[in-house]
Amino acid sequence: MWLEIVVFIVVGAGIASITGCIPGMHVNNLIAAILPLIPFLLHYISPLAVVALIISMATTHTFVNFIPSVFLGAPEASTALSVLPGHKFLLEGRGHEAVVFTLIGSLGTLILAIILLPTLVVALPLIYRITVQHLHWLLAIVVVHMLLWEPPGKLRKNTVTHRITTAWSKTFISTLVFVLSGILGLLVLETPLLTGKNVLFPPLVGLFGVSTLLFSFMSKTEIPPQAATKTIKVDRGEALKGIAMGTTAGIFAGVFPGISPATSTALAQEAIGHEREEGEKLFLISVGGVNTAEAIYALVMLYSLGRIRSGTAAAINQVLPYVELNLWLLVSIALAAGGIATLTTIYISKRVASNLTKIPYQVTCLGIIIALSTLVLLISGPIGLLVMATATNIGIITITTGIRRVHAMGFLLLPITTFFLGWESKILALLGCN
Amino acid sequence: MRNISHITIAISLATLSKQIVIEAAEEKSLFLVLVAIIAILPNILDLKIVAPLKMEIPKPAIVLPNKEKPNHQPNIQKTLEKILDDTIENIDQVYKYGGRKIVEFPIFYIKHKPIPYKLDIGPNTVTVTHPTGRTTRKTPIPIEEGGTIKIIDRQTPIEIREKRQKDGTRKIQVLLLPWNRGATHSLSIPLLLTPLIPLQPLHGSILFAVACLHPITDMLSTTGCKLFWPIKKERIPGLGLVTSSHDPKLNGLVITISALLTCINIATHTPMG
Repeated sequence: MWLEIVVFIVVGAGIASITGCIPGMHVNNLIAAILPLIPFLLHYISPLAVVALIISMATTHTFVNFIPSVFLGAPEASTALSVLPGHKFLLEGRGHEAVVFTLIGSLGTLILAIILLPTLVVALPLIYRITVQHLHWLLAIVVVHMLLWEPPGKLRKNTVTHRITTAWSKTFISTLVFVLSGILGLLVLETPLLTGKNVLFPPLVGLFGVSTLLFSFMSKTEIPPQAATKTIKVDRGEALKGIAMGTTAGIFAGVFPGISPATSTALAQEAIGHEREEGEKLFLISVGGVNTAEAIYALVMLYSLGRIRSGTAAAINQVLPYVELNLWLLVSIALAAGGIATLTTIYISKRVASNLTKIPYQVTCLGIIIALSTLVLLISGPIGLLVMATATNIGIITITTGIRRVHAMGFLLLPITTFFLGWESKILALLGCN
Repeated sequence: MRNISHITIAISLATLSKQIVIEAAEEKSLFLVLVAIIAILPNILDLKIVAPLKMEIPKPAIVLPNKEKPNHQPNIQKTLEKILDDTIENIDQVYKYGGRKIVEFPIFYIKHKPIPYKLDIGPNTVTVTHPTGRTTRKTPIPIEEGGTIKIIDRQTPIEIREKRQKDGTRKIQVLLLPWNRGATHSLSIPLLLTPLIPLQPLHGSILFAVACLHPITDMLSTTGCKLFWPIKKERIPGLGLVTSSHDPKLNGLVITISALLTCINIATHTPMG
């Protein structure tokens, strides 16, 4: 049985190493794709091996997924108002370094999660039970704070009107993006607009994948040669701080529904991080860690409360009738997969870095846009393509106006906040959907 | 304090009231969201109204202390005077012996990148060099007779942060906050909320207390705030318990304790369904 588990850890890591390289592909989309296969797999392999396959895929995906995030979709620095930290490294020829920082975060968070596990098995369900009746105002505070604290734009004129409008313009645009993505979320999640398991795929690909690639394609970005073999120095204190931030943010995202890893990282950064300009490395380490931490803490929530907080947890839940859950085994599988994922990510990242300038960047971006659109068309049909196009437009607003892309996570945050407030049906009625 | 610290402190205070917790749980009240907004209102007003009106469009500026009107904080004044003395001494040296001298110090504009200022002191001019985006702007400032240079922004409240570098040296960061913690951080703002108290005694009192808490907690740092504006228009020096109110350790501790208190309050007061 153990050999079977090891084999499926390796198989899962292998599959996720490929799917992780697809931009905009969320781990939940990957898991959703294998959900229908679970009953079939259970006929041929042991339930524990299925669990090993799922956890290995989910963990590896969170490690490898930073390769497309860093190497693809970089805008031209002079035209984009906001350049993501990973893209800043890429435009300086240090894309591989950025990927390594995210790996430090992912692996470090995984190890810290195991250390904290005995405490968190007790604490997380307790926090959830205490706050479950109060999620509406907790989520609303997160939203209000994020929207109000959007920093002002650059001053260009010396008039009072210009100064005040510059200060409030980003808050206004952020609110607009939040509401638009939230309405899209309500339509996708609460109406039969998209059917099937992969309802999240078209909107997420549009919001964060195609929009970034399209902007990169339009802005004629020139990628400098990448230093793939250079020794990477990491300050121990900075790494530990990033891992701590990633873990904190991961706990927050794992316990509270609607809080995405990106949202919780932004909050952790504001709470205990450096000023934004100082913390690019720190951001990459913590954002690397938060996805992994969220995946682990979602398993803790499933184990302790039976609450499904992620696609991975939903898939494991399907296997639960056939196997007794052992949290330590699940986390050990994640750790083993994390080890394999680290090695494969370094290998793929080095290969991508050394070959990136050999292919015209715009051609690569266009190719991936076409591939993603085809995939969306095949999975979700023409309506999926329409949803992706709408989401892409919202994503482009965030890039061109220089607001934080985290506001597009209103896609999940608005439907969930309105659900806890009990306003969901009223808003859907306002939208003419009832 | 950072915004999240202000919010968590305010929420832990507000949830001490059983009625507020019950209203939030059973009536789906959003009063606690209002509490959070009031908790960060001074910072929002600073960022969205005072800063845009007062903030200079970034331009070359040599930020040096004014010896005639010294900063009320002796340690800050001393550090600033050291920068001034170094600069003037170098100008004197160039005047006397020729050649060039370089004085470097970073200036932090809030929410902007640290700007490494370089004063290239030549025989006739001091060239201020600082990067602006991709280019480096060089602005020569003429030296007047007697070897002094023009002092800009003399009345700017300045926060000095000292950071120990990895090599053991200390880096001085000069944080320009001409707009921060002025009238918005005075006790006059909570006074505006007092008419609410007779109308809604509990809710009004909580909002009043939360509004008072913000400037009081900000007084823990060295910078202080204009606590008694408009009666006393000068900035009241802070208690200096922490060098910077953005200190991650302090904020982390405050957030953890406040969040724990909130959890205890909620667990105690929420009726179990």
